[in-house]
Formats: sequence, structure tokens, C-alpha cells
Amino acid sequence: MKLSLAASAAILALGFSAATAQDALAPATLDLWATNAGDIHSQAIQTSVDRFNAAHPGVTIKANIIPAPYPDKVAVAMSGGQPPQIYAGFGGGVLAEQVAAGKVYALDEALAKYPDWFDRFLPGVMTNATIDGKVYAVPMNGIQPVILYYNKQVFADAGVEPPKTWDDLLALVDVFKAKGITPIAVAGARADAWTELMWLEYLVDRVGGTAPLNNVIAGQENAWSDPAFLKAAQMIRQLVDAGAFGTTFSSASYANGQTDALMYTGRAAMQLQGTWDYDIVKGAAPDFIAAGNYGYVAFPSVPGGAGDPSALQGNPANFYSISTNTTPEQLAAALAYLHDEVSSDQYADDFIKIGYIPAIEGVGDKLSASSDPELAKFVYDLAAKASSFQLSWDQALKPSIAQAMVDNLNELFNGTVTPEQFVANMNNAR
Amino acid sequence: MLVPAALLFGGFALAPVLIAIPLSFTDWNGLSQLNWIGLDNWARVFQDPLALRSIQLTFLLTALSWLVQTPISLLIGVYLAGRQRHRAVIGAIFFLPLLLSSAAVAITWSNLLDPNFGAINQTLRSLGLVALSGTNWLGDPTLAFISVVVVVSWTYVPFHSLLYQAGVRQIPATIYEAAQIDGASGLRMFFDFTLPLLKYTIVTSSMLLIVGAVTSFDILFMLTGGGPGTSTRILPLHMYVQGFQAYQFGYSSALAVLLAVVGSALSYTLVRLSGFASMRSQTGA
Amino acid sequence: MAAASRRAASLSLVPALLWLAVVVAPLFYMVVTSLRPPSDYLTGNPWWPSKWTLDNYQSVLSGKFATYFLNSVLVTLACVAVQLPVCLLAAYALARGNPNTSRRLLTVLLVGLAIPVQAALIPLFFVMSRMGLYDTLWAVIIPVVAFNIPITVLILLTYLRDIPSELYDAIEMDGASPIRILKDLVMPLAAPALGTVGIYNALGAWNSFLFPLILTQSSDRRVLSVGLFDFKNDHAVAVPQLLAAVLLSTLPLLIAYLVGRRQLLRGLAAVGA
Repeated sequence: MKLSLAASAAILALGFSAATAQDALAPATLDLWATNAGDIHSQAIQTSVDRFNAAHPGVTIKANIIPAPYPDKVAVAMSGGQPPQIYAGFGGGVLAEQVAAGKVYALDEALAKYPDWFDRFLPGVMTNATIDGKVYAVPMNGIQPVILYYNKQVFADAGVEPPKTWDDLLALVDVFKAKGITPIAVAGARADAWTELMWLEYLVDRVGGTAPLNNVIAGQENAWSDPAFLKAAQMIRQLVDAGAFGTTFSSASYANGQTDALMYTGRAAMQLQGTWDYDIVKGAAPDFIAAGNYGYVAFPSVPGGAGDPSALQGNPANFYSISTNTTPEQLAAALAYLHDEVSSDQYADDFIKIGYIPAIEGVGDKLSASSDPELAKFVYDLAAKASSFQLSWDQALKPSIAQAMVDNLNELFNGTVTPEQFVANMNNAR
Repeated sequence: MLVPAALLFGGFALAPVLIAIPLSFTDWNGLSQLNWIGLDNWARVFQDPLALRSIQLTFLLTALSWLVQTPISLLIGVYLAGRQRHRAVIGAIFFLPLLLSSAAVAITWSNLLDPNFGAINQTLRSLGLVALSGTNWLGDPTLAFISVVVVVSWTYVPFHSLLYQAGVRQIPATIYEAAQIDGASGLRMFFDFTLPLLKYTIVTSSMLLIVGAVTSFDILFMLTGGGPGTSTRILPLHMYVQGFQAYQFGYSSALAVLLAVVGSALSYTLVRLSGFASMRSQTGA
Repeated sequence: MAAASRRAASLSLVPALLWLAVVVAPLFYMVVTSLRPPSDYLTGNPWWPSKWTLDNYQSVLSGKFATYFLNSVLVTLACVAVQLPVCLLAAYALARGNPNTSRRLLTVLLVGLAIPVQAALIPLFFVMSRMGLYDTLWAVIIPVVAFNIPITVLILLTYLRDIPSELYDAIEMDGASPIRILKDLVMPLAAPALGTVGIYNALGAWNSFLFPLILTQSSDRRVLSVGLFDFKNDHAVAVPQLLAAVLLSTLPLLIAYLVGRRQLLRGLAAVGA
């Protein structure tokens, strides 16, 4: 990429001046890709981008909200050599693969210009964006753990409380089954099988702690033979056989709102989902949310389990990374956007207003400004007390293993694969 | 004269498929460098239970599709070949599914088949067939496969009916008259005269049907995604998943080559068997 | 003919009527569902709404629908515009060329019919991105054209080889150049066939799904078929809205069908001739 004299001068000037939001940037056009997490979320992204573009004439960032399946499309774009300059991701194993292939810009290189940049973020969250000691991404929305939602009205009618332990959960299954209500809604359609993954994640963690998964990630031979995996798989079968998920879950979808519909029409009692689901249900059934009927608790504990009951699974955050497909002008603009805009208090406030909890230190004090202060406070407390916060496994693991895992899990739920076969198949997955 | 067609076809259809061959000997994950790994991917194809299963499912889908679609299309084609006015009107309605994109078909049918809110189960419930009304059409491995066959047939029968309709209309009137003089009845006429004279049409329709089934992707992708589990993951789907979701483009290319070979072999066999490639004009001009 | 065919055809009356019901039911469902509000979809009678509304259509049209529509139109027009001349030339060359070469090339073409598009997908996007065409409409147009060449040439060839050779001989004896032959003899006679392959290709281009899905990305380049698929995966979209989008995306084809039905059907039927 040849630099014009003017552009070089501009870059040098940037390097020597103090970092202010009004730094003159060389003209550049950039593509930014973000996932589709609902209209409200997309609007917040657009507002941020518009604000930045207005403050930097000559620089245009084009925000693209990419519909599902997002990871597939990033993969295609990267292989094709034309990835966007700024793109969202979840960190973890996928980011690691991209870094290993040299496709991602190491943000550490900008620390000279922006010292203390990463200090503002929660360390637990940043571990997912740090590969081999270098930071490759910054959080761009908020912490999104997976929690157990329940229909308060349905529970009240049945005269029961949300579950605190595994045994409570099993008891509730019988109660709701007797009333003809599906105890737990889960999206078993193959395209949405990641919703079934949340059950595996929590059960393994509660039973065996964080070691089993870490061994898998470390590439240990036969790591799946850890008894926690077998036990969790058996517990899943226990739930399925008890009719916890109903009889038609294997074709239920999440992407077009079916499981949510089951929840807000009172046909299902509970759903294990990420905090992002709250906004989605708000869009689909505002009255249900306004009546305060969409309740939530942390995932129950498993008595006798080795895992810490405060451990969380989910998305520590979505992150923005900068790809290596940039001209120097684009790189400067991208860095400015990520530092001045995405890591600013204004940006954090905007996301708090729409119900997110940005992964920054001390955010607990600001949460009363949230559109859902109760949920925000609940999530924040959960995260603050959490002994660990594990990234969703389909992002944390190497893609080919993740693929095999979801395949096998889907089959486990459907009964076409036994718990023992699940473990064996996963040990053989490459 | 042939150059533009040859260039376009050769460059953008044939060549890419040929490129899949060397790709199948690498471990490319789409991001980093290609590494030559020899026959590893190919060995894997024959050991991977999912790959073998997807091949079985592909053949099963093809066979079922042919068995379901051909008789129906034949009958409808014959029916529509009759020249009564009302047949034309009915024909106009019959061919409407042809206009729908695969996304349209998949969306409509997945909603019809939804076990909780779908029209089919709701109708069964209101008809009093409560036991059936909870059927998990797309969630039970066997039922899902059958549902796929039904949806694919619903989509493509109109096309094949068209072929048969045209084929029947081409049969000269004289043949029917001669047969009538001989005292042939309706059913005998059909089996002894109509059917043999439709040979070319049957071959064409079958070829397109089989090739279409072997390479079908769009509808399955959107209707079941290969699920539940992997029970509708035919070879083209398995290929896509291995490439674009598991990032194993080398292995995916091996599956692609296999698919191309199977499809071409089937097509070639049909072509040779039917003498389709002969340059003789069918109308004898 | 009339009596005999009537008898043969009446055997198939019952299956035909059954099939009519099978065809109409989903289509009817699509239409009525698109006209009902989402709340009614979840609770009411699936076959007859208790509330009717045009809101779904309104919300679909207020989105990026127009862009997707325009892209689909551009892709379809371009595909047809490229395909017809290219294939006519090829078909003519095969019809009038050396019979042995032609037969061999024709076999290649027929086998080419069986090439699964998925097999070419990965190398294709590799090629497209190297050529700088990734995420442009050309990335859709070129592969769609390429993969439809076998069947288009086939249809045209079947038609062209039915033109009596005496006509060719006559015009050649006049000392006509190939271009003149094409212009004065082939094109007028092949006009119906050109119409039919034009329609066949237009239909395929309009509904093409996999190529746009993988080879284009930004919403500015999206075509209707992918737009629909994305719409389906959007959390906030309800089924009635989805089906409204489906119908809107089929509308142009429906209109074309009502206007030019005979031509369309004749064209598709020619595939089997």
C-alpha cells in the first residue's frame, strides 16, 4: 500500500499529537460489521457510527448489521481476502484462529498512542480478547451471561418458586407437565442447537468446575472422558426423558422467535437464554414485559457438584477487532473509532440506556439509567460475584470441534446418540 | 462461436469444480496457508460415519423423490394434456409453485409444519385427531426426512408435469386413432401406447429429477438445516457445513469432488442409456 | 384423438383434483397469514384470520425491500442479456458443426448439467475475490450464467436441429456469411426458443439463492432471495410479516405469469422436447 505524501504527513501528525477526539484523520472509508441483536441494538451502533462520522469529516464508517449466520459470513469474507476493517466477534477460539492466520491487528501496537486503553475494562472479560498476551479486541456492547428466565404468571398460577437447585428443577418439571405446560422451552432445530449447548455448559460447570472444558481447549487427549461430561450428558437425558422439554422441541426454532413465543403465551414455563433475549421478547411482546412477567434467576446449583455455583456461562461481551485488511488511513480511523468512540463514557451510557451492562470497571453505579435497571443490576451482581465467566463453547472451541459438539449434542437431545456415544464421538472429533 | 460459452462455462463452472480436486489434498481452513496433506481427507471420507451417512441419505432422497414425483407428474401431465378448457385453468393453478423461490417454499412449509403453531397440527386438532396433532413433523428424524421428500415433491412436480404434458401432446393423433380402431381401452392405451411413446420425456424428466435431488441444497438448508441432528444432512449439506461452519475447506472439497463424480456418473449413464446425445432430430426433420 | 385422450385423461381426474388441493392449500395459507396481525397468528384459526390488516406489507416495504428488489431485477436482466447471445452462438456452432465433435461436446454439456453448484462454491469465491468481484452483483451474475449454460444450450440446440437442413443449405449456397445466417435465418426461427430460455433463465436468476448467499455480503448488494432468508432469521420478525415478504418477492413473477403464462409454460416444456 503506497502512502501518498499527504497521507504520510497526516499519520505522522497523528502520532505526535495528543490523543483527542477531534484529531484530524486522513479521509478514509471503512466497513464495520456487527451482529444482529435486535433493532434497538442495531440503532445504538448506528448512532455511534454517525456520531463519529460527523466528528471526522472525510472519514466514513459504514455500519453493516449482518444477519445470522454471522460466523459463517466472517469466515467467508476472511477467506476471500476482503474482510471488513472493523468487525464484531466473541473472542475465544474463533479469534485465536483468526489471529494465528495473521488476519487481526494487535491492538497492543496502539498502546503507545493510547496508553491505559484497556485498563477501563473488566479483566475477566478482556481475557477472552487476549491471545498470547496481546489484546486483539475491545468490548463493544455489554456482558451477556446466560440466565434462567421464567414466566412469573405461570409460576404464580402453579404456586411455585423458581428453582435454586437441580432437585428443585426436577420437581418443577413434574408440576408443569401435570398442568400441560412445557416445563422448559429449548430450540432443538438444528440451526438453533446452540440453545441446547447452554444446558451442557452449565451442567458440566456445576458438576466438574472449569477444568473439564479447559482441558478440551488445551487439546488434551481424550479430554472428553472427564466424568463431568458423561454426567452432564446423562442429566440432559434425565430431563428429556422426564418430558422437561416437551415433545416437539426438536423442531422448535429460536431465530424466528418460536421459543420466546412459547414463553410469552404461557405455553412454556422456563427458558435458559442469554440476557440479549430480554430485549427481543420486549420487541415481540411488549405487554408481557411491561406486566413484569418475564422473570429471571441464576442457573440452579447442583448439590455435590465440584463447580462453583456462582460460575457464569455466556458471552462476556461482543468485541470489535480490526482486520489486517486496512490501509494506513483506514487503520488510523479504525483505531480512533475504537478508542475515542467505542471506549468512551458516552458510548457506555448509550448502551446502558438500552439495557446493556458495559464491561467497564465501576459500571455498577450507572445502572439506574438502564432501560431495565432491575435486570441490569441483577446481571451486574451476578458478574461481579462470579468465580468465572466462560465464553459460549461454540465460540471458545476450535470451529471444527465446536461443529462436532453441536451435532452430537443435538443428537443427544433427540435420543439418537447416547451419553456414552457423545463422549466417544467428541474424543474422536478433530 | 463456441468461445464465449466455453469460456464462461469452462472458467466459472468447470474450472472451479476442477480446482476442488487439488484443494481436497490440503488442510486449508479458509484463513491461513494451504498445507499439502496428501490423501488424509480422502481416507477420512471413507471413515467418517457422517460422510457415509450423508451419501446414503442422498441416494435415499433421490430414490424417494423419483418414486413419488414421477407417477404423480405423469398422471397430471396426461390429465393436463387433454384440451378441455377447465384443464387449462386448473393447469394455471398447478404451476404456481414454480414461481416460488426455495426460500419462499421453505418458509411457508416450515410454518405449516410447526408442531405448536402450524396450520397442519392445528387443523388436525380441530378435526379431533388430537393424538396426531402433536406430531413433530420436522423434529422426528424419520418424519423430517419424509417431510423433506413431500416439500421437494410439492415444489418440483409442477415442473415435471409440464414436461409430461408437452410429451403427451406431441404424440400424434394417428396413433390413438389406430389404437382405438383396434379396440384398445383407456388403461391399455395408457400402458401400451402412451407410456412407451413418452420414453424421451421420462428420460429427460428422470435425469433432471435425479440430478436435482443429488444436488439439492436450498430447500433442505432452510427447512431443516440438515437436522434433526444429522438425519437430513445429505451430501451437499454436509459439504457446506464442513466448509463454511467447521472451517475445513480441504475436507469439504473432497466431499465436493465426490458429489460431482456421483452426479456426473449418474447423468452420463442416463445419457448413454437413452441415446440422448445422438444428433438425430426427434421430429425426423 | 379427442375421445381417446379424454378417456385416458379422465383416469387421472381424481389424482389431479387431490393434487389441486395439495397445491392450493399452502398458497392459500400464505396469503391469509400475510394479511393477519402477529397476535392473531398465534391464537386464531390458522385458515381464516379474525382480524385483517395490511400492516405486514407496510412494514416489509418500509425496510430495505426496494434495494433487494432492484438488485434482483438487475441480476435477472444481466443474466438473460449475457446468456442468450452466448448460448445461441454455441448452439448454432454445435448444430451446424462436425457431427462427431458436436456429439462429444454435447455429452460434455449433458454431464455438465450434473455439476453441483456447491462443489464449485469454495473455489468460486476464491476466484471472485481475487478478481475483486466479491460482494458485487457480478459475483452472482457470472456463476448463474455459467451454470445455466448447459441447459440453455441444450434447449436451443434441440430447437435448432429441428430446422430443416435444406434451409441452411439454401442460405449457405447464397454465399451468406455466418453472421448473416444467424441474423436472417436462425434468429427469426429460433425466436420462440429464445423466448423460452430467456424466461427459464430469468426464473432461475430471480430465485437464485446459494450464490448470492456466499458471494455477496453487504445489504446494498443483497437480492430478494437472500433478503427473505435473512428476514426469516431476524428475531423480531413475526410469521405474517415473513409471509408478506415472501409474497411481495414473488409478485413480479406472478404478474409475469398471468401475462405470459402460455409462453412461460411452453418454454419450460421445451426442456423435455
